[in-house]
Amino acid sequence: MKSIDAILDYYDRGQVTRLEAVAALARLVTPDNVAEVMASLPEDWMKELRRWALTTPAQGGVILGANLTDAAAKKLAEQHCRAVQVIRDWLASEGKIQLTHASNA
Amino acid sequence: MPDGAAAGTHSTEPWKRTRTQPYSVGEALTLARSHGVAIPDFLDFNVREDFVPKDAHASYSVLGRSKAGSVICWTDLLNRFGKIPIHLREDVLLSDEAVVAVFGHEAFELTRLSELFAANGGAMTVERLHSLISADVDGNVHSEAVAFADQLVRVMRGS
Repeated sequence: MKSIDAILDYYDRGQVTRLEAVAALARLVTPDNVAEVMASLPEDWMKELRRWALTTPAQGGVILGANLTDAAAKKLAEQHCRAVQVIRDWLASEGKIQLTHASNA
Repeated sequence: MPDGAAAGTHSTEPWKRTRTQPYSVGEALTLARSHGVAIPDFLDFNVREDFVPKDAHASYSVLGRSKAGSVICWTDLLNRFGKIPIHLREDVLLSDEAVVAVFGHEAFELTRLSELFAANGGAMTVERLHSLISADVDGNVHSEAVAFADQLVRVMRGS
């Protein structure tokens, strides 16, 4: 997966949709870089990724994507599960939200 | 050449490699149209391999995890210019058969989806969309697109 700048450039050039870009940005997030990723994003994208993390289920839900094999869908689901949890935990640690339970919506 | 729009999907695979240099997207569109593929104006093909899942030739709307019961709108599938970006692996553009099959598959699938979204007021649940495009659901739009693409290749081969 490419960098933040590459993903935003793809969006600007119309090569990906806004939802695809947000989903791709989420896949960049790890516990080690979450603060850096959030700080690097333009404000509107940071808010979009924050909204994504707060509305996407950490478990279950539906995995959307054309031509996803089972293995690819499973990998994507795991990446998004991790990203949801990492972003929510970071938001909580920053005092931006209060979590009663960090692992689910 | 990997298989189909997704791995192992099309009965006409493997598709014969016919090029040493890839077609441009514009050339590929012309080729696909010359073989009977009707490509709607709202599709925008691009070579963006990092948005194509492993073992797939092409993809669109790779959105990942969505909340069950949530609604997705047709406009959610569009880029900022009002088109649906279809992501390709470059090796699709090295084969006449792959170009016709993959462009045909995606054009068929998205045309049907546009009709179904329109018939449903421009929105549907994520479960409904998943059931229409999943490779795991028999008889859905995706499987119809596979059959359409295979028929295009069989005609190319004269078989």
